[in-house]
Amino acid sequence: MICFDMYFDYQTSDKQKSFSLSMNLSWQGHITGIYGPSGSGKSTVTEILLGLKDKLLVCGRFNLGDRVIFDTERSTWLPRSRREIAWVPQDSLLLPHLTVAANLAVNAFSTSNVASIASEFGLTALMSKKPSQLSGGEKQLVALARALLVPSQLIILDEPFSALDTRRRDQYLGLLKTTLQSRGTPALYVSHRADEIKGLCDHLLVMGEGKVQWHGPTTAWSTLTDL
Amino acid sequence: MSVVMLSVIVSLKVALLATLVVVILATPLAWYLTRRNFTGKFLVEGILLLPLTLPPVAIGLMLLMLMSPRGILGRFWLAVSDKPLLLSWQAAAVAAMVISFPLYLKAAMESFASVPQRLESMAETMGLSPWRCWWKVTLPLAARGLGAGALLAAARALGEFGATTMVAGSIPGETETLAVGIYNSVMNGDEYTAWSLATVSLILAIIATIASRSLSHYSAIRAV
Repeated sequence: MICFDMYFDYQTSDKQKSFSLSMNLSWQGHITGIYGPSGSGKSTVTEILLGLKDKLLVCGRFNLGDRVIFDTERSTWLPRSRREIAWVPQDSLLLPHLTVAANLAVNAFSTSNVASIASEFGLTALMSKKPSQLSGGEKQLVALARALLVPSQLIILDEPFSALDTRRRDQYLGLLKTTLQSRGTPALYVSHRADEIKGLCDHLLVMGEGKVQWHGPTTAWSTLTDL
Repeated sequence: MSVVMLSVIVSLKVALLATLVVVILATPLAWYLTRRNFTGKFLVEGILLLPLTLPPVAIGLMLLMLMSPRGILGRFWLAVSDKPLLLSWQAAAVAAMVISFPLYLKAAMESFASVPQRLESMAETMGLSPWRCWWKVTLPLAARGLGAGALLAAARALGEFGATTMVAGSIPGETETLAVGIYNSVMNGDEYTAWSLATVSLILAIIATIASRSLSHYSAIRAV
């Protein structure tokens, strides 16, 4: 069960730009899509959940199952390192000074897990390479494998395949779906592409202007089109 | 041993100690100043970078007060080693430390600022504590810039003259560094020694500068 009730208000120091977001929801879903146009607050939601936003700017609470990740009224705010939320960002964020093997092993359970996932994802031949020697698709696969190697109760995928061509994106989405289903870890998948959401997610949050416009089972949302 | 060799040894000893202490003190400080905001930060940075603009002789005068047997550093050193600090090679090292400190601090701050914070955040979401993240991500990514800064600081420490003469004097083989040796040789009309010392200084400076530039150029972050 994922449950949040939060409010985020941000204004730049020159007061030219402000952004506020409020949501009060709880739902049970395996792969939840967060769908909306640019600037609708999709990435802001994930950044709050991951603990990337300044806690002074966030109000509310966020529970993951029985665990309270933050509750600003009760002054509970777990640091990023203890949230157990894995993250696959759009730009992969591999550590540039480490090889693929070392990136995967940064905080993995064990080296046998690293070898097994590398083989599952077809990364074995890339293990001694540095991120600068990889293609965009290979980087994203490594980022996905890395996220699956750390102990987590939720995986956040923020448009992980948006920079890839259609053929490769379809191939990786298939791999992602199979992997998430076999592991059973809940995931949030952020995208502005309807086909990705329809193919992958069983639950959907539609965002617009910093608010949740609609949420429910993906099959019940009939007007899903690319934004 | 020749005067030139003695001066080289004293200079290297002074520069190495000064650089080592500067790196140990200024690295965490630079990280803190880069990553944290606090009231008065601007003022603290200004004070720490002050030796860049102050005349070295003025710094020497202040250090002279601190290192005298009645000064805080002088008393401490006397209690620890039973020897006066003034007119020792350690005094020359302290002077070199103060002069080269802001140079390294500035380089280290730029180096830490160039490490993308999103990489650090990513490492933390993978369960690394902030301390492990610093060792595994921040420090390795900033290392080349820190190395370049350390080499620049060492080069500056090797060439330090004004503050050094104020606190360490010019005892051959004890406190006479390359820069002080050049000055003394010129004053004594010994052009051969002066030019020999100047040549050694030039070679050391070229090596340090090229190494520093190479480290800055081949930064790990550019390889992303």
